Amino acid sequence: MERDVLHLSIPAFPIELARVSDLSLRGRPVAVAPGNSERALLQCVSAEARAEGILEGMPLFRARRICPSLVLLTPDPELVAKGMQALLELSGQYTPVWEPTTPGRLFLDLTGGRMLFGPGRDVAARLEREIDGRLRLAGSVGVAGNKLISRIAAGYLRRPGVCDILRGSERSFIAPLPVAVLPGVGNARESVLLQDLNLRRVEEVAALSVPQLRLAFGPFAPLLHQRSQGIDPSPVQPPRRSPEVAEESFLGQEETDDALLLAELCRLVEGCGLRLRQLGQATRRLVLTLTYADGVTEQGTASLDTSLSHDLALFAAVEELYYKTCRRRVRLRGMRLVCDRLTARSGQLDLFATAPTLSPHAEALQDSLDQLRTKYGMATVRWGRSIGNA
Amino acid sequence: MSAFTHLHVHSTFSPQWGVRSLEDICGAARVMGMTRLALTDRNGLYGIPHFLEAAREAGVAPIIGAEAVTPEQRAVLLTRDETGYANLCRLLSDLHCRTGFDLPRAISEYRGGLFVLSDDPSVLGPLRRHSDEDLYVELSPGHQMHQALALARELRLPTVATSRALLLDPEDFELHRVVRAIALNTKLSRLRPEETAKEGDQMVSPQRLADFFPHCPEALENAGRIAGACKTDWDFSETIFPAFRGMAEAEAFAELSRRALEGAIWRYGGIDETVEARLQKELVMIRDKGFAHYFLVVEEIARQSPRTCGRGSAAASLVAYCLGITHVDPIKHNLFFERFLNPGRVDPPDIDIDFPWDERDAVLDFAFARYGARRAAMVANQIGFKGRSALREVAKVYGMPDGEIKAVTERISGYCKADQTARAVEGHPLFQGEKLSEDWQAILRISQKLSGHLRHLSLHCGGLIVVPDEIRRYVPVEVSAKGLPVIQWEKDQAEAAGLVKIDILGNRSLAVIRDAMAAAKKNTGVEIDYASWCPLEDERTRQLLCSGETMGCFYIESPATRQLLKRMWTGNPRAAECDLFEHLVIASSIIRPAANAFILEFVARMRGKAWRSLHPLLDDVLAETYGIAVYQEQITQMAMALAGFSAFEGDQLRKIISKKHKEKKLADYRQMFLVGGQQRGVPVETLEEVWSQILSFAGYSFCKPHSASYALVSCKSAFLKANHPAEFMAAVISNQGGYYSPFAYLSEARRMGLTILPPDINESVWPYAGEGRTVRVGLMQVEGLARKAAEALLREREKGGSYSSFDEFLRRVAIDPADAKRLVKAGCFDGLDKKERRPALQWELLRFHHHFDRQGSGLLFEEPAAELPAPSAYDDRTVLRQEVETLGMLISCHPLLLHRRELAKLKPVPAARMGEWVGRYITMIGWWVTGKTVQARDDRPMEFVTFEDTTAIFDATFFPQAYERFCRKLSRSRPYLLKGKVEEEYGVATLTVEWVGFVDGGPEKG
Repeated sequence: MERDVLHLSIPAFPIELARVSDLSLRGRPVAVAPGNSERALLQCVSAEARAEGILEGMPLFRARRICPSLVLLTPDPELVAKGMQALLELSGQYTPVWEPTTPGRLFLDLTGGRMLFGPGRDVAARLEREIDGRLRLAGSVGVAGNKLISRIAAGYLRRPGVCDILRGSERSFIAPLPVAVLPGVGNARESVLLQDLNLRRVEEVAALSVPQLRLAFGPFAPLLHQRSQGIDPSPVQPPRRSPEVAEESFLGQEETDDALLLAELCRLVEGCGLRLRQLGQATRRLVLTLTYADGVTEQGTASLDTSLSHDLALFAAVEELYYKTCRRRVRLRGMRLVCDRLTARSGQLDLFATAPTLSPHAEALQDSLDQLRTKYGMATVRWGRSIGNA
Repeated sequence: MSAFTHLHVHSTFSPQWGVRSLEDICGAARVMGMTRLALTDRNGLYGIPHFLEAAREAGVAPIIGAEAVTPEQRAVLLTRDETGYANLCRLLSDLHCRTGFDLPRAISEYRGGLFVLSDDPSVLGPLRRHSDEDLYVELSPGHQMHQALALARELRLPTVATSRALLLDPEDFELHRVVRAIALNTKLSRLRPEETAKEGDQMVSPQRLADFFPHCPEALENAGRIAGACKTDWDFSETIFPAFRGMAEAEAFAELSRRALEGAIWRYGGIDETVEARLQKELVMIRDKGFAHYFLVVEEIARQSPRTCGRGSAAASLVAYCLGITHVDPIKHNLFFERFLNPGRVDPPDIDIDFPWDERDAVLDFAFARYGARRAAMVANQIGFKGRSALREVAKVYGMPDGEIKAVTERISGYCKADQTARAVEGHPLFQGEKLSEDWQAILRISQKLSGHLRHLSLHCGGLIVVPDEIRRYVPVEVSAKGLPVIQWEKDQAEAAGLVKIDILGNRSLAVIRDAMAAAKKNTGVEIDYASWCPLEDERTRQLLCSGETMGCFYIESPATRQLLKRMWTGNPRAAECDLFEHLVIASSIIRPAANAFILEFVARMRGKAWRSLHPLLDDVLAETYGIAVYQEQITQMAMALAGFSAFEGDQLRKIISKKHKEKKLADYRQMFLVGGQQRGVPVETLEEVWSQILSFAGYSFCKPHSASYALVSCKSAFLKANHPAEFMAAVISNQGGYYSPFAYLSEARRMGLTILPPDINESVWPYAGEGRTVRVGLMQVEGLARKAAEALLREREKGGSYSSFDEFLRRVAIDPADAKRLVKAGCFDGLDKKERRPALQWELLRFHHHFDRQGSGLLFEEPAAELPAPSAYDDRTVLRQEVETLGMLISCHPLLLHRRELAKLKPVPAARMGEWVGRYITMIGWWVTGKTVQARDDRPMEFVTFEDTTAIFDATFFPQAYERFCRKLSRSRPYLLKGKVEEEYGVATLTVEWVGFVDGGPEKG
């Protein structure tokens, strides 16, 4: 059966999202980079900045030199996550088979949905209109017989719109395009290689044999050869989910004081703990992600010897993890705590258990707290340490 | 009974610990009615000479001490006498230099003349076993007094009360915590209590302290008793000279006399009366002052390189000239020996010698090999906080992100002191209309207090100290990161303590001269004798200097100096009367900040404007400089002539002026100057005017002998530039570190009519090479090329001859593929293969290395050996881009040529013809060369920028209004479109810019 793959792309997604609320950013060169150092690399660049010669991955100081009027945003993972969620909700109406790639990019597999929604091109047009109308975001949509071509097609248009590639004409479509459209060539090293070897258009790569390509690209050669012919058999794969409990918090005011941060962390632990116990689960691994004021994120992981679900035990483990992870002095903007590797709470006990189990009193206290919180809300009863000393 | 004295006191010279300045502490002690005060900074005597002075001013008797702190143990050590001081210096040196340092063992080794105070049983126990003499248990409120008291009873030792005074006010504790957080690279909430002092470690009055010791009043009395027993009349003023080869005084003097006479014959060919008389006069003075050893030591060091430049006031000495330490003939150029040594001068003048920058380390090695680390050490720089660093460090402690910190610190000049930051942050045109948050206000408030707080030592660039016996007797010694021994004092304190320093400095221009001379000899066979070289006898050199075409020449290449030279000589009716060298000396001295008005006046007078000095009394003093004070020693002379200062007072004034700060002393001298002048009947207005001239010397000025020394080096560079242009420009670029970028020097070379040749695998060597009318780019310019790889390929070329093809090159030289790729992209193989074959070479390189990589494991289904594709040639833009990428700049042509078409439409005035448009508004094209931001009269920033187009280099001025509007646009690597008015002064045309745009981006709104 002929495949219908859509690629939805909103260029410079984080910047476009910021522009929705901040009109002053429109029409000006904008870039996103963590603000921790002049050597920080740009993560995202608006079209206006690109026109000035600024590229993603360029160090900040160089970008500033090229374009002194560059407006700089620090990464806002909260906003991006919200935006992505909204995109998924809109596209979810058309197919259950979707695959988000990077923020602002999404594959949809509409194969077999023609009877329901009409040809892919129509769905693409409708989707684009909806995104513009509902989210105020301008995107372009590529429609083709495979992921590779639909993605290239989406990037082919200069302006927002729909680009539908005739099945069978994939190779001739990409032949005259610059090699950078091929996935895997975008990254700096390989693009330099292609520049050095003077391979500029896809057809020039397509004309080379695999052994020739192997000289330059090693193991990547067969894949590159396939891609340069416009072939891509990979399916659209919805993300797999593993069970986890997560809580996150974006601080009202950026903070550096350990006492206050631990108080906030305690609130995250309470949230996670309650959810774990409601599910009858306990966690064997904690992942703490810290977002600093300058957009840098740090992640720390702690594998636990015994599975935990009790607030105080969890908090002790999280506190240790916090000190291990939070090594910079810069103020924190947000924290996210994930409890995964879940196991049943009242599972099989270890025959030769060495870890001290909780006293019945503590268990009872936790149970009562949970009951109160479930009934009257989290704010009813709190641990003192979650209030902080400020 | 003696009164209580604080015996444990920390100042800002406790690195990363102390908070209050010596002046504050001595003042506070005085207010409390103390007559004595000890300073016990941590692990060092970092501020002792300053302390002695501050204590004297406050009227407190100083006691020298230190707190020795190791990770495990601590003790306060106070010096009872000279022996104790020497022992303390040795102990502290050991603490810093010796691995496995053990405090109790060290104390027992160096115990003579020291009082030991501690509350640490592991220190007191072992010492007590030996003897209980001068051993005390330290009792301090807030530091587990009861345990210490129990320890005293157990060991049967007397107690002594201290307050471990660190703070003067309770608010200082906040600053202390910030200082600690900066030191430990942590944040306030994560500072552990044991990492900071206690909140009560404050200097309190004896009465308040007595409240803590109702149970052992003897502790207070003992403090007074110890203080009474310590030496307080310290005198560091005696000069400590090095000893030359263990000679006795008379022997050394005889040796010096002999060498000086020999040298005179060498310099002059024979000794006439003038020389003889001058030599005798100098030698007598040297003998009386005990300088003979010092001269011999310096001579021996200077002899290590054939090309040196002795500078500073020593250039006024004929003995130094005869010994070959300096190279300017002091008799010929009227340099008076009294400027170097005179009977009234109490402090030792030091001799500075410049060596070629790449030979300096070897010279230092020689000095240490000769005198050993026992007798020699380097002078330190004491690194503290300045405005920007204080703000940045405090802001980091408060968790501010870097970008935000930068936004604020950018407003502050790098020269700002910490206490000026707040004012500097307000009202900078780059950031108008912003309100600082509360956090930032707190940061500013705290960082203002951070001034002069010692963080760590670093190595002074060249100050070497040699003593006759043991350096660790005089000052504690640490080890620098480079492994050299370094004393704990910076140059001012070293001088105050009588230590004579020899400055061994690196100078790039001496290396330039060396390399250019060597290249000239190789290419043309012309050899120049450095010692007897008179560059100004050459007419071409004279013309070059007068025309101001001195880019690349030592010390006179900055745009300001080049303009000055042009103004001095272009169309000057008096040109024939003026001695070129004398005027060069004036020119290189008068260029200094805050002297702009004087410079124009000087040019006018030189060109024949009638002038009178400010007062007839100054006529003699200022005659040689057109009635304008130019040289540093003229401060002394003016003060003597006009206000009746003694030679000593005049010299003090000169020193204070040239050393910045010292506001208070300066005010005293000003008063003295005004009063003295009025007594001689000089009108107040004249005195004020002269005083303002004197002040313009602040921070940056030279004496005439120094300038003459430098001017001679300038002339030598100019000679080489005029006579061996290719060799000279190649040496300038190769030695790096000139005032301009390599790109600017290459443009200059083109303007001089030289051809720039691209790097070539068979022609280039590592540095740039000049020959005839060509300059060949060296392999050093290939960015990222490993020095080792370049050396390997050069070695192989020398051994096996030129490379005949790329393939052969790969087989002969084992080179990293990345380096080979760089060479290809830099065009090094264009001479062997055509430029069009560069992509093909890249394929060859891949195949060559693929072949190697594949020898380990193969594919299951062996592929046939790949035939190499035949790629098309790079287009022109790619070639240019590769050039910029690998060489860091365009070498094949001027970047402005790439914009030829746009430029033609704009019809700009070429820079070479700027002079024809004086007083009119024109459009010009400029490629940014260099810029200098200065403060205009009203403190607003403005900038002098030098641009070039393909015809010439020219200077443009951005006055405050234009600077405010366009400073954000001046981002360097682009061609600029400039509109403004041409102004001319004494034959030099400059552009006063009123509008700036980009050539490549089309005109933008300003």
